[in-house]
Amino acid sequence: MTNQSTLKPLIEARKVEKHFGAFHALKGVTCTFYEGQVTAIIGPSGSGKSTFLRTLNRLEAHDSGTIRIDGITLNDELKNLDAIRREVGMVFQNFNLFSHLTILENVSLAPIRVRKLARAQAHAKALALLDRVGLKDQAHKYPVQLSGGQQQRVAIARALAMDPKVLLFDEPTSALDPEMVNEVLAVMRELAHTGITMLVVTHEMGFAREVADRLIFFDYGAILEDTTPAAFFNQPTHARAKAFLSQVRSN
Amino acid sequence: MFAAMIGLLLFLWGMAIPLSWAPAPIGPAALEFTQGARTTVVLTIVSGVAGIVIGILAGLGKLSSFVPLRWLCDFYVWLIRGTPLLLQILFVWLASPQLLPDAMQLSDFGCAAVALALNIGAYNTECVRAGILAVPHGQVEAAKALGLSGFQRFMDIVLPQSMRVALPALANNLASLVKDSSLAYAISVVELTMIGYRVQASSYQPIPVFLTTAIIYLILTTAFTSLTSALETRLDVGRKR
Repeated sequence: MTNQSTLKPLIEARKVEKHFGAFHALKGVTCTFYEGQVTAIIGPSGSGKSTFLRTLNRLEAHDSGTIRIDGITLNDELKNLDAIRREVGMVFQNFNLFSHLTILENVSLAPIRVRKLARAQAHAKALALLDRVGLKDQAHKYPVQLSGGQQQRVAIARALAMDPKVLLFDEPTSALDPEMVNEVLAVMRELAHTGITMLVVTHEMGFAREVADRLIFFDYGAILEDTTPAAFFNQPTHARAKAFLSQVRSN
Repeated sequence: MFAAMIGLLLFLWGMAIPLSWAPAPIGPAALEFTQGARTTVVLTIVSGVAGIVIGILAGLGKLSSFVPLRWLCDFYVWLIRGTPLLLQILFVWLASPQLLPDAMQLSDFGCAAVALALNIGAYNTECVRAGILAVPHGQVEAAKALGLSGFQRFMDIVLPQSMRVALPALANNLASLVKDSSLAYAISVVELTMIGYRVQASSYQPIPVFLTTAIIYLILTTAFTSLTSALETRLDVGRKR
């Protein structure tokens, strides 16, 4: 792993707990994420990995424990919440593009409303980002006219338009047809090399192994392994991780 | 959309001319019919717009997590839907002089507009609520994740998407409103039905008079529905068909 002492901590989670009714989804998760790091978060369905990701921009409120992002404590104070959400971008499993807006409007809406950018400036920036994900010529279409892979690339451009300090990916390729997975992974790979901080909940083991600096294995609402992808795939230590890997490999 | 609007305005402005060509009792009363139709349209538009605003506010209120507000909106819809419109109009007309201070007294037209707005607002409430519930939760989450405030999320994402769903039902309510506005005649508002009644009473010829009145209503409702269906087409972008 990269030498963490020289890196600046960006996200600090301490003893984060979350219940959904009787279900204990997060059991005292403690973890620090550093600037510039690409972290893959893997684990079986229902292990709490998506829930953990969603607590980081308070799409789920945690019950107890503390989450600090770039020095700001995440709590019910709207001022803190707004400040954090401006800096934390998110890409969803189901894209969640705004269906009544064009691609260009999807990407430029938040910079206009939240960053108070002038419309022309926001549009120019949106077009540059769409160009980067290879979709500049689709700018005036509506989301429904695009394929899943294209929609997800727009969703990445939309998140990037806010110049976030960290990007959260919640299973970004799980809802895609197999032939579209690679175009999205290619964009994410390119992003990872730009030095942006990324937390990627994924089932794409190839991507985790090849692109991530760090790998976290979740199960039963807790972090069971926190290591490098190479170490995890070659020598998993935890019994649950071994079982998970053998299941993944047999598929 | 512009075509429908211009058509409605042209009709209201110029209908006196063809009407005046008609034989008695219609021809001599052409100007009165025109005035009546204008009053009906203004009453429909004023109470229709106010009713949309009421519908959005009460629809939001019904979905609020603040329980007393939810009860209040439930009570409002229950009360209005459970009582006759004519009674509501009479109540506003007869009770408002006693309830309101002297400086705020309403004209007959004002009473009719208030009663009609409150009435259609209750029906709109349910349409708006259904529209808001139809907006996928992921749309709101994406807006939250981008840092949009609650107000921005509502105005930019939830409201336009819910209107797309609610509009056919709201248009239906508006078409009813054009006709419901005729009940204002009971409180002596000089609108289209009142004119028809008066002309009939002085000429003793109910058949041509009420036929003419009905045709004017049909033209008005046609104009309003083509207006709303044009609006529907404009809003209906980016949806699977």
